[in-house]
Amino acid sequence: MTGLELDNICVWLNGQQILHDVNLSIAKGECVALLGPSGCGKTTTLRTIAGFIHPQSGDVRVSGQSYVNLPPNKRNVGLVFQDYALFPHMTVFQNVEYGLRMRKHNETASIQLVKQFLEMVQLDHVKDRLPQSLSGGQRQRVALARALVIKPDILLLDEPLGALDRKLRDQMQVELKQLQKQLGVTTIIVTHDQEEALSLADRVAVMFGGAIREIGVPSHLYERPKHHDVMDFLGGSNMLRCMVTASSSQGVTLSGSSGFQVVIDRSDLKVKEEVLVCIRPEHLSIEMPTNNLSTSVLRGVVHETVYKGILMEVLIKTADNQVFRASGSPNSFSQAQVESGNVIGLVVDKANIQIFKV
Amino acid sequence: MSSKPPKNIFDRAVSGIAWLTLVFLLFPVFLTAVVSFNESFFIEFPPKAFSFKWYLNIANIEAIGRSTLISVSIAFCAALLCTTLAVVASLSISRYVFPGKSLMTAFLLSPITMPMVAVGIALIQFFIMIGTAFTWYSLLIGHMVLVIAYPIRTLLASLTLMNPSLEEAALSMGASKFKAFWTVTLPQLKPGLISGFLFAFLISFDNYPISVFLVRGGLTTMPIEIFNYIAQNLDPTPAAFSTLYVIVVSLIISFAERRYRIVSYSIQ
Repeated sequence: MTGLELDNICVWLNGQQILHDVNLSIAKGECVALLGPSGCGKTTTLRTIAGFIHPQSGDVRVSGQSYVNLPPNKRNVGLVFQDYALFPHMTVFQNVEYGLRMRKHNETASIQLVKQFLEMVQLDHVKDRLPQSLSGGQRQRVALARALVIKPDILLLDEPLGALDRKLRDQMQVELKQLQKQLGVTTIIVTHDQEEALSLADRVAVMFGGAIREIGVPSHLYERPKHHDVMDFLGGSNMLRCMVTASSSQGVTLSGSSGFQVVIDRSDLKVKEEVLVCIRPEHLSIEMPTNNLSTSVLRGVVHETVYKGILMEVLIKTADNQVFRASGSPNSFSQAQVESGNVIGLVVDKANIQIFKV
Repeated sequence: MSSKPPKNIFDRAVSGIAWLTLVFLLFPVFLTAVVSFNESFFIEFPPKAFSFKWYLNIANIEAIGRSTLISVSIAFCAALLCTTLAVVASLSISRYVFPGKSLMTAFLLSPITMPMVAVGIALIQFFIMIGTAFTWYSLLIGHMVLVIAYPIRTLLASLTLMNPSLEEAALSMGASKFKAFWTVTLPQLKPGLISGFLFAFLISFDNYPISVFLVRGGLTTMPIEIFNYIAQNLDPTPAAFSTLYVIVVSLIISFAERRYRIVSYSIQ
């Protein structure tokens, strides 16, 4: 059963088209992340669902019922803002109770309900404090409890973990996911953080320029994207324009600039066809000239190394000044492989080359 | 203990000028207070004998008591009405785009920059024209023109500082627009409301140049009566009244600042 449907949503703001025919169908209880760079329209999509923006065309349907002409307060939507938007003049308890009070719930029942949700987010002990006196993680939980206590049909989260530090973010990611599954509430998370999107959502929708470019389950989207820009946005990629130069029983030969050459087993490509070859940095490894560089797809010199803790990234510059990235755990590289100026070759695992027709 | 960095000449000069300015501003008040406690009938310095008699004398001057009551009633009503109107005006200025918005904003804030005598003359000509001159109501309206800019300023500051998501959060939880405004926005505007009200009250209470055109006979305000008294008498009773006035106003302002941080809302 569908929980939420967006049907050809178009939004213009100040004479500029922000959303171009956004279509999205989310099952009841599913969690979908809208991922994209800033200005891609993900927040506009969220605000359209919440009812703060009225689309010029298209429909928003929740459980089959059209929402598009309902004002925000008549939609049953729970919203967690990026800055949490807790009411500073109300206690934690009053903040969580607010939605129930506005819906004129029975008072004793709502006190019970607020207590139950505060216990669920482990904040019962601070219920009489004001939001200013809480830590970032606690405020986040209050905002979550406040959005969930009204039993929303849709839960909307706008960059929910953006303001938290790394450690707290990892912890809240787990809590958020458990809570979402436990309550079975249809959820949309807006984020520009790919890790957050991939780890929280059942499906990730990547947005570019006001439209959804591609949607899929996280592992599929990461490993087998259908678009090169999605691949580049998710995790980064080395991209090289190539041409099919030969065809044989072993497959086709792809040749590109910088002396790049690889033979790959693909029958759907014809000679002279142009393609875009994308290789993730973690699928490139460095080979020293002592191995004759016979298996290398291209050569270059080590230009720079970037140490990132669990990862090390090596930037390799080819003869015609193209830069390629190779990454791996820091101890997988030898000193000679990362010494600036050293001539090296790059080896690729053929199974992990992605080819996009252009 | 934190160690302070050494001060250079510039820092010293700035703090020196700041202290001098403070002395310059406070010295007349200090002098007035000293004179008010002097026993002598004539204003003299240094004082010779301590006495409360000029403070007791305030009660004997009927005109001061009567005009102070009128001033309080005018200032209170003007401040209350203007703060209410300012909520509506500042909301539309800060939230909506409408034709002539910048003109409207400049107009509403203009009484601060307009010469008061000109405003006073304009007002009395207008009231004479419509036949309501020299009434309590026309005095009230005159003072409203005088003070409306202050609550608009403080409320605009409060609205700018307010997180715009708060109202949206309230709407998303089922509050109607009015409910969201009443339960979420208005409480956020409290410092602006209180400082706007206080400024309006004090500016109205203190005003001479506009009131002087609008009063006649029994309808007078406190500053006008004080001025009349000084013109005809030499004793230090006005000094005693002024000292009392300064003390009461300082207490109100410092309480409001401590409780609602009003000063930080009005300096922008």
